[in-house]
Amino acid sequence: MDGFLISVISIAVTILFVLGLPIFLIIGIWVVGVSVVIDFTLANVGVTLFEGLNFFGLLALPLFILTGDLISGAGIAKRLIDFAYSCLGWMRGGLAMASLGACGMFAAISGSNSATTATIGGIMHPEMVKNGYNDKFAAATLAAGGTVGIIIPPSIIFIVYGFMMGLPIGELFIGGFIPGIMMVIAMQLVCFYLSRKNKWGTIIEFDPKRIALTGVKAWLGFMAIGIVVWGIYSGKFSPTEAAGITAGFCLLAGVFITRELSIKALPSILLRSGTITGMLAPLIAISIVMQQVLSQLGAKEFITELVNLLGGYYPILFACMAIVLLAGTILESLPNTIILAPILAPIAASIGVDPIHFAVVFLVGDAIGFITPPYGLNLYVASGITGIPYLKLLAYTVPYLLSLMVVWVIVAMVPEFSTYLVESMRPK
Amino acid sequence: MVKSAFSWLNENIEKCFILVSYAAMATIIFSQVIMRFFFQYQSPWSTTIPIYLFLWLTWMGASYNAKNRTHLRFNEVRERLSYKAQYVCLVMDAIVWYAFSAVVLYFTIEQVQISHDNFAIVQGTDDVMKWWFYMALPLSFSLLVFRVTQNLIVDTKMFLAKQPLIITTTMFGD
Repeated sequence: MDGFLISVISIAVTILFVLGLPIFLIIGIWVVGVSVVIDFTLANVGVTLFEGLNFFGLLALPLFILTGDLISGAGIAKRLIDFAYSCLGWMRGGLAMASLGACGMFAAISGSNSATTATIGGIMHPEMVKNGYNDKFAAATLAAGGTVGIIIPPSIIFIVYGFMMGLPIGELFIGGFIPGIMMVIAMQLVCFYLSRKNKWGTIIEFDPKRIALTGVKAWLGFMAIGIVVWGIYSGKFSPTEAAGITAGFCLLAGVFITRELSIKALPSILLRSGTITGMLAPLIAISIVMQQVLSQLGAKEFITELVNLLGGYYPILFACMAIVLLAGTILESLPNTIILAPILAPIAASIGVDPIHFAVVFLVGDAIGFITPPYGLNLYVASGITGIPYLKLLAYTVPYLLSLMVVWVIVAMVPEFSTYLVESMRPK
Repeated sequence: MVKSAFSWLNENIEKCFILVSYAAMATIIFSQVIMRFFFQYQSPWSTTIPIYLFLWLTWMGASYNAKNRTHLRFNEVRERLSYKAQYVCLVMDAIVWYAFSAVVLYFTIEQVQISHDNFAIVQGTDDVMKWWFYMALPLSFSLLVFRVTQNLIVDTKMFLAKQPLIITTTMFGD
């Protein structure tokens, strides 16, 4: 009888999900319904909504969100773009490749996909169109470039994943570093090929003086990247502390050095970041209650048995990847992670996949979901900032999508890409 | 006077909580790392108070998102539904919010009471009470219920006037 009622509740909330009820509420009402059926105390909801967020490491989430907003406001992003362009502008497709490089550098300070696309896209799209690129290709490039936002550390989703699965967030950050760079390079190769073939863009002279000059001007960006990477890699800061220091650094740099940030603008920046935090953190809290209920139901054992029927290491790993990709076509990365990670990560662990490696594989798949239709968030963001209809972007996104899939499979098949730096960082 | 005070609070109450808790949290973490790095000293409460401030930020943020209808959702189907069906969905949103909020309010008020009766203090402090921070949940969910009601009234007025309903939101989470 319980099984029947739980199935009815699950089907009902799935219908509510499809009808557009907020995801926080969907999980909440499922938890309440199932708890009543299995006689699991509802007081647990009250306690976990307080205590679920009681973890210092989780504070990195709001602080990195704030950092992303501060680097845009402080003009640091623009300086990084200028540097990337002077480094790559002498090649065919240089400006587009520089946009991708700038996405990578922006991602190394901020931790968000859509913020990467919105910030770099807002500056670079008009420049690319002016420079002779097809406007749809330019928008697709910026949508695809944003996907590295959650892979190159720091990353908001890595924090959520680490928190939920009990993995060290610093190690996860380091694990995403090489795959993130591989993603940027793969997309730059696509960009180079397509720009050459279609003769898009103009070429600037290779000028070491200009590279040095823009490099010096971008020192604030490099320093912010340095604080995050050095602090976490050397163990001097925890990820939360690195986030606090980087946010403070970007604020001071914007007010006193670039002077593009006024104290008056600070409340609106904090409010914007606070709104995003108020969207993500409640989801994390309620997902912890969901995990507790799932655990009471014995869901883990059931799914493990089911997946074990698939066979060995690679069939199970690829089945997990297919599930992540499929869910990513209709869900944002956060709900995707919250719903699927607690189910798939134990399965991967049971067949011997390294937890850090699986986290990186899972989240690269999640990142690819940002440019997969029907729900590709970065495509919506790119469409929003460029005014190009969403559907017209899709065809130009396909080459990037394919290149990212190749990187994804390589990262899945060669665990060392995710684990080498982590191993080297651990005390011997 | 009372009316203008209410109107100001209606517009700004969540914003005030978000700004104060966010700024305080970030300032404490930044300043304490600097203190540790340069003066080898760190206050014992510097890793606990920010966590409790995060509670206020999170749940007031949840209410603010309810007010602005920016909670994450899968909107593709709803946008394509008929006008009437869209209104039914909006009413359904409100009903489910009420039901879930009732559960949360009941059990979080209980927790606040337990914490208050036990004189529970925040770790690393001598006299900062935990319930001051635990109040974030009941207060935020009360406000959230109020915001949901306000939105429902707006939706009903628009529906009766046959004006376009507010379905699409524009905030991007990640």
